[in-house]
Formats: sequence, structure tokens, C-alpha cells
Amino acid sequence: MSNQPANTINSPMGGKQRTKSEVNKIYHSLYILILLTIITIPIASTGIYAISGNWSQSILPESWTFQWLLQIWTDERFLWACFYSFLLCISGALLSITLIFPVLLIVHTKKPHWQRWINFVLVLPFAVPPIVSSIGVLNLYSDFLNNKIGAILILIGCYFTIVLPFVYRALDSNFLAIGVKDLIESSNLMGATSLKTVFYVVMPNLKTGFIVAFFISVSFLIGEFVYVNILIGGQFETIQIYLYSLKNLSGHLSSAVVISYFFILLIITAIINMFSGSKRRG
Amino acid sequence: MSYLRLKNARKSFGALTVVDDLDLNIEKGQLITLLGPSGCGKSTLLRSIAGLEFLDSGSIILNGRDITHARPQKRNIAMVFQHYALFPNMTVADNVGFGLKIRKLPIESRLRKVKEALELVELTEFSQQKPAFLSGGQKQRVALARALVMEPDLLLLDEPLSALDAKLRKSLRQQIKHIHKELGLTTIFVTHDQEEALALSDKVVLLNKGRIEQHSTPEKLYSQPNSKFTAGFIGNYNIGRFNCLNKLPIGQLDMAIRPEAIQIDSTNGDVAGKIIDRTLTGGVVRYQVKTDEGEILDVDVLNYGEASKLIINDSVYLTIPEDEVITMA
Repeated sequence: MSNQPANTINSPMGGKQRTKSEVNKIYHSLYILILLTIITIPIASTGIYAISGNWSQSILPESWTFQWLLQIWTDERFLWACFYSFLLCISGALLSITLIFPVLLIVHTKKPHWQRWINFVLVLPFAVPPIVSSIGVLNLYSDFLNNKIGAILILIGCYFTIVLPFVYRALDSNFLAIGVKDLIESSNLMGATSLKTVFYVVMPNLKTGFIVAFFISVSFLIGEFVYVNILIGGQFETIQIYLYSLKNLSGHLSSAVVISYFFILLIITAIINMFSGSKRRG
Repeated sequence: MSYLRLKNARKSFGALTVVDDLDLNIEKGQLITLLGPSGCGKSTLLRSIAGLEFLDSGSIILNGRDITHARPQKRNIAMVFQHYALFPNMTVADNVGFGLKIRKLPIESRLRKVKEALELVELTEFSQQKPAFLSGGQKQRVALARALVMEPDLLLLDEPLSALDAKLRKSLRQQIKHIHKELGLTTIFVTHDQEEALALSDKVVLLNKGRIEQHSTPEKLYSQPNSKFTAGFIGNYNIGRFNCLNKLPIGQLDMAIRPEAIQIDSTNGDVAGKIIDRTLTGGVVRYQVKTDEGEILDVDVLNYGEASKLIINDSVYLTIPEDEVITMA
């Protein structure tokens, strides 16, 4: 009978013995690696296609070029599309956060029974398809949609409804995690008014929730096409409309557009993380 | 006149009356415990005193001032919460100094007071740490320092030890007792743990269904319970009508007998029976004895000497001193 400890495993190659935890670690790393590969492949392929020249008969491109990226970044239409897209997405995200924050504050401190009604409201954006609601909005606000400012405002309003569930859930989890009711009561007992409590205590502790809600919203909205195409399709372009116009032109250009806005989002994330000053310690 | 007076205090949530026409007087410098089972109204009462809930009717007078309708900010009452309620974004020192900052105290005086408060709870070396890096016991001591630094007229402790493990609970209990003795602050401590209440308090207020069941010293509460509820909640009283005690003149009434007041012996005694269970709880051995009349009595003996060595199925005799039998209304 072997004297080998129960938690060691013989290598099939007859080499070094590994403990169970080492073997598990290898499996875990392998699993994460496979997952990351699956997630990264589409982005990497798009990136490669955006900087490839000829690519028809081999696994990797036969030549490389920045021509497509240069072409779209020197195209005024693309720059305006970026401007409008980010204006709409960031405004929609900020509006959602600004409106939902006080609602959550009330739900978590004074009116917990509102939660079940809010849960019902949060399902509505999923229950009504965007194609249906956008036509409804078109009929209802046709007067406002005739001018650019009106169209932008209506679109931001529509975006608010789309991201409502995501923003609400992201902030709600953060509210639950910090135990906001106790924090507010404790601050009030120390003499702080409700306003001071919100600024000194509640908001700084919701930083993670705000950032998560903001990025979920912006990432989700930047890919939105139905509302923007139906409501303001003829007035100005967003990235998605610009992308749509390229569909019969060149796959390289489309890839360059997608990879560009992906990197813009990445840069915004890095900047916000930097300014939020969140130091994650072990 | 009492330092804190609650008169005809009543608070309901919908149809449920949580505090029911309650009168309570607390003297200056006392440490009072509000004790009772879950849902008896002790936390609601505490929150009403703090101003976090408002009474439906009745009044609260603190140090001669009617604070019934005052906002929490205006009461000068400090509170320690069960789950600490420390501000995660602030360091320990900032947490403790928050209230002083709100009061716009000059920075030098603020820093001095924070330092003193942290010294009192022995946490000076953690002053620059964030709460996330502290243990449960340390967090609760920060919460205590944060309350004490405000020099409140009244200190409220809402089950401050419930979230801690047994060892920490005992150590922090001693620290609270020591700090109370040193500062002489009028303190109300809420707990559902009778051992905590008996160990800490000058007076214990036992609550049941929003009313005061008994308000007395810990000694009196334990040795002279005035109702079946008190006897059932405090200690491990044997409660009921015991026919085995027929020889006593009170044999036909409901009675309560402390398990440690009953003597157990294998040869001599008034009531014969048999051990049906034996539980070791550390320093004490608890026997369950079935008397010949078929009644079951708990008997506690110190885990020392002959009486502690009896085993299940041993025939035994119990002696119950008449003056230890409390008759119940």
C-alpha cells in the first residue's frame, strides 16, 4: 500500500507529484483562459480587420495598414457621429442616475414598500419592444422631433427608460451593501442635516454604484440603433447610424469604427477610474 | 424629577401597537437595560427616544426639556447601532470626528477630542485605518468612541454586541461597563440577552408586548420575578403547578423555582425522582429529574463534588427550600 498522502496526485508522466490544490489551480486558470479567449476573439478579430490590408487567403492578414482608421478619424461625419452618440449616451446615463438616486434614497429609508411597484416598472422596458415604443413616441412627440434640440431631448428621455432597470439595479445593490439607512440615521444623530448626510456620507459611499451604473448605461446605449434610427434618423448621425451607412461600403471601415468607439469607452473608463480615486486595497 | 421621563408613550405601526402606553423614569448616570424578546418594542422605544421614530402619543422629557417632537439632530443623544453604521469612506479618526466637524468645532479641539475618545476605547493606533480593515469588535469600539466624543446627554446602545462572537462580546461588555463607570453617562442599553442585561445594568426594564413587565435591579429581577413571563424569560425557572410540592402550603398555586435553588442528593430529600437527562454547560451540570408524580424539574449543580457525578437513570431525592419557591399571580 502506498504511503502517498491523500491530497497528492501522481503525474501521469511520472514526474513531480502535485497537490490537489495545485491541480485545481491549473484547472481554474485554464477555465479563465478559455473564457477570456472566447470573449476576446471577436474584439481582437475586429481590431485585426481594422488594421489589415489584404486578408482573403490566409489565417492572418497578408498586409497591415492604418488606412481605414485614418480614413474614419479624418472624416468629419464620423467625428460628429461620435459627438452626438456620446452626448446622447452620457446625458441619458446622467439623467437616469440623477433621477433614480433620490428614488432609491426614499425607498431605502422611508418607503421600502415602494420596491414591489418599482420592480414592476423596471420590467416594462423589456416588456415593450423598442420598435413599438419608438413609434408611440414618434406619434406623441412629433412636434418636438422636428427640431434638433427637441429630438435630442426626446431621445435622452427614451434612453432613460431603456437604461432604467440597469441603473436601478446597480445603485440598489450598492445601497444595500452600505446599509444606507443606518448611515443616514447615525449621521443625523451626530447633527448632520439630510443634505449634508447625502453629500458627506451617502454619495461618497455610492461611488462604485455610480460608476457601474454609468458605464453599463453608456455601453448599452452606444449600441442602440432602433430608437435613434426611427426618431432622428434623418436629422443627424450617431455612431450606429454612421456604421449602418458603411455596411455596403467596406468591412474594414466598419471594423475601424467599432474598434474606435471601443477604445474611446476604454479611455473614458480609465479617466473616470483615475478621477474617482478609488484605491482598492487587499 | 427623573433625568429621562417617558409618559404614556405609544407607538403603532398600522394595526400593530409596538409601544403601549408606557411610563418610564431613568435617573441621571444610570445604565438601564431594555430587555425583552424580539418584537417586544425595545428597539422602537430606543429609536423613539433617539428621534428616529416619533411617538403617536405621549411625551419624552430629557433633562427637563421636552424632546418629543425634536428632530434627532437637536436632541444631543448619541447612539451605537447593532451593525456599527461606520462611514466606510472615512478613516477611524474621521468617523469619530464627524459629529464635531458638523458642530464646526475648531480643528485643534476636534483632534484632541478624537484622540481622547480613541484612547478611551484603546484604538489610537488604528486612527488612520478605514473601517473595512477592522474586526467586528474594533468597529464597535470606533462606533462607541464616535458616540462618546459628542458628549451626549444620553447614550443609546442598540444591541451593540449582537453581531460579535461570544469572547469579544464579553470583553466589550466589560469595556462598556468600565467606560460607563468612568464617564457616568446616562445610558440605555438594548438587548435580548438576559445574561448581558444582568451583568451590565443598574436597572433592567423587561418589556413584553410593548409594556413594562418588570422594572427593577438585576438582583431583584432574577430572584423575585413578578410574573410567569419574567420567570420564563429570566434564568431557567421551573414554572408550573407542582403536585410533588403538595407538602408545602403553596402546592396548589402556579410557582417558579430556580434550578440552582433545588438540592439534589442520591439518598436524602423531600421529593423522590429519577434523572432523565444530564447536560454539562461548563461550570454547571443541569439535570432533568422526573419526580415520582411524573413532573419534570430542572436542577443545576456546580460541576464539582458528588452531586455533579450523578448519571441518567440514577434515583435521586430533591430538596426544595420553601422560601425559594415563588408563587405566581
